[in-house]
Formats: sequence, structure tokens, C-alpha cells
Amino acid sequence: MKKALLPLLIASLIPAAAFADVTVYGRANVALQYADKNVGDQQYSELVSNASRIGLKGSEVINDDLKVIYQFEYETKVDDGNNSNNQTFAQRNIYLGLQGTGGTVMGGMFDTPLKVSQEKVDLFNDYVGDLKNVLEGEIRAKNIVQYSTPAWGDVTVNLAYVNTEKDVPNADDGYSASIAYSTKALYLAVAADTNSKRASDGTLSAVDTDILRAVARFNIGPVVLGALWENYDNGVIDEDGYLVSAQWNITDAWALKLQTAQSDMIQLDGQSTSVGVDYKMSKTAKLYGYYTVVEDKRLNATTLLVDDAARTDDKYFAVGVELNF
Amino acid sequence: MKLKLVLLGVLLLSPLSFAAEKADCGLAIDEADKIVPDPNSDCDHTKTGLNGVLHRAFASKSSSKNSNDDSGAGNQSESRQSENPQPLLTKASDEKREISKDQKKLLISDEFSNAQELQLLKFNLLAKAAVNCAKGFSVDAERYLPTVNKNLKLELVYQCL
Repeated sequence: MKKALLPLLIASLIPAAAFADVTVYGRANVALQYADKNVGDQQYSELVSNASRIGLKGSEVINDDLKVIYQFEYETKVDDGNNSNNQTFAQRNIYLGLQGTGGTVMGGMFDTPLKVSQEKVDLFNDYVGDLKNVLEGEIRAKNIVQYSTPAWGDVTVNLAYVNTEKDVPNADDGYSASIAYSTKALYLAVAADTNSKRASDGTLSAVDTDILRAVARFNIGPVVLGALWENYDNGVIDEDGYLVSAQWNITDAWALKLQTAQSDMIQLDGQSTSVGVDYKMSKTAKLYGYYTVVEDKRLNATTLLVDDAARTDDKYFAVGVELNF
Repeated sequence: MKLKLVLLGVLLLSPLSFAAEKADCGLAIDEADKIVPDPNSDCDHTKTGLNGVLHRAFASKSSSKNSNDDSGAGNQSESRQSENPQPLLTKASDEKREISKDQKKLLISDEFSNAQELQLLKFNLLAKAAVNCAKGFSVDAERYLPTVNKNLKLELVYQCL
């Protein structure tokens, strides 16, 4: 079938009443990336699909005070076709919930309040410079139920429970919570998470894993400054990490981005530094380029010295296109 | 302990009453990334991008269905046509034919293969109807049918005023 007929096909399949409040959305993001990796001394180019996805979201009004809300979002690999699950589509944020004057309750599989609290401070989100490669806590939890308060002025509170669905020793449910103050000029958030990843993955452990995160974003004229601090304590390590970012919107079309993140949470002395430039072709399409360096100091298990052959010291250069619809 | 800190944050932030401007209406995908939909959002994404095409396509389908529903007993030939749908696959052609002599309903159609063609084709069909109806016309039905070559055919049923 011709791709141009897809919208008409979808429209023909959805009942009239249901389609009224459906929003179809998505992102196609593909880049040609050159990688220079330390391990194995590899240099190669690759086509990368940076979290390209398509989704449906909408609501069904029950009465003046209540509506059913839903979202179904799937990732698809623009470059390879198949995701890591060997399927064309991989589940991202999916939920069904109720929204009313008393707030929002929703259940499904979706990003925890702690993950969402990063807002847009991570300027290289979904790219190789994503903060998830350096900091813990970027969790899309299964079996999660969340309650979000109505906006209290510009403040919102989110409380989530992750069901481990097990009744065995050392299986714990997870919890994640955040409070965020959000305006166009200023964003502040504090979030905490206990055992969400363990509960989502069904991993057993005798000790709790706690994460505390604080996020700030300031818009000062054409400059957007972001900062994120985090503490991660899994009973074995208790580490702090941070991310700072700056975006200079040189014109309406051009933007320059800088970001660095550092922590010992995932690897000893893990660090990611990126510089990038965006060229907005339209409201929904942009060209971009970035240069990212990812480093760590991996230790040899026997000598406990830095293993230069095994450590990450990788450089990436990419140019790509993003289309949002 | 850390959850207590979050709750403490609630208390600390609650007096804040910054008069800063709320965020502008952004892209649908950005709203989706926030997970919890904003109940107060007035953002309308039904006119842009793929979503806009879908909504326009659906609006046409809905309009066509309503027109058929509204047709009375006097439009039996048209009603029969609705009850007995045409073969699933039709030959693509630029058609113009009278489908009901009593009501002087006319049908014109053409084939298209993409959204841009649809817009142009629809305009052309309306222009043809205008040529046939010096005093104007009303569109009674708008149908989309698959064709043998995997395109779609748009049929407009109209009558002159």
C-alpha cells in the first residue's frame, strides 16, 4: 500500500466517535554517525535511529468532571527495521487512566516521575549523549500506577507505585515521586525513587536502591541553562552525579548546544560531553549535528588498575534529520 | 527518607506565585513526553501534519455518512447504492454520471494516490460541478473507494441548486 494512503486507512478503521479526540503523533529521527571506539580500536560509520516513534493519544469524555485518557506509543527503527525485541514496534509509554478535577490516575508502562522530572534539561536526549549513559534513574517502568495532582498554580505532584508482581523474599515494590514547578521561564523539580527499576525488572535484592534528583532550567533571553544533580544509593555504592547544559538560540532557526554529565553510578568516572547545533527548517523539522565524547575508567578485576584496553573512550560525530508530526 | 524530602519540597514550593508565562502550545509529541496530559490544554493538533490529514480524511468520511443518513425516501436510488456497496475494487476513471433522475443527483469521481493529489483532485471535481451548475450546487455525499491499482477513488454526489 502506498504510504500516502496510510492516514485514510487509519481514518477508515477508527469509529467516528472515537476519532474525535485522537491525536496521532510521532517522530522520525535518523542520523549518519561516525564512531571512533577505544575497545577494539574500531572506527566505522553507521545509520542510527534515535528513538523514532509513533503514537496515538486521546480521551473520551465521561462527564464534565471526568474523562478517560489513553496513550499508545511505539518505537520503530528507521534504520534497521527491527528493535532489540526483533519486532518492528517496541512498546514505549502506554497507559490508560482517568482524569478529573481531583487529578489523574493512570496505569500501564511508562516513564517514572523521576525520569520525567528531567524535562528538557538533557539537550541530547535520545542521542548517544543521553544522560542515561552516565546517570541512573532513566526508568520506563512496567506495571506502574501513578497519581498526579491537578496543577496547583504552576506546581504539580506525581506519585507512582511500581508493582513487582512477586511474593518472594527480597522482591520489593517500587515507588517514585516528584514535585515540579514549571513555567516558560523557570523549571524546578525534585524527585525521588525507591526500587522502581528492581520492581519493574523483577530483580531480587536484600537492599533498597534509592535515587534522589533535583533539576533546574532557566530561560534567560535566547539562552536556556539547565542543571541536574542526582544521588544514587544501591547499598553498594552511594554516588553523586550531575549534568549541566546550555542552549543558545542564536536565531529562530539556529541553536548551539553544550552539555556535560559525570558520575560513578554506571561506570567509574563515567563522563559524557556533547556539543551540537540544530537548524530548524520548520516548526516540525530540523537538521542537526553533534560531537559527543563518552569516557570512563574501567578497572581490571584482578589488578584493580584502570584497564586502558577495556575502558570507554569513544567519540561520535553525526549529522541527522528529525521530523515531528 | 527521600520521599519525605519531596513532600518537604511541596511545602517549600507551595508559596511560590511566579507570574511567569505558561509554556506555549508545543508539538503533540512533546506533550506526549510529559506523560500526564494537561487537562487545561487548549492545544489543537487536528490541523497539522499526519494528524491533520487523518482528521480531514475522517471529517470527509463522517460528512459523507451524514449526508447518506439524511437522504429521504425520495432518494431511493441513492439509498440503494449505499445499501449495496459497489464492488470493493473499482476501475479508476474520471467519471461523471447522473445517478438519480428524480432528484437530479450527479456523481463525479477521480482517482488519487496521495494527500496532495487528493486536495487538487477534490478542488477540480468541485470546479467541474460548478461548471455544470450555474446557480451553485450542494454535495450530498463524498465516498472513498479502493481501486484495482491500489489507489483510492473519490466520488462526489451532488445536485444543482
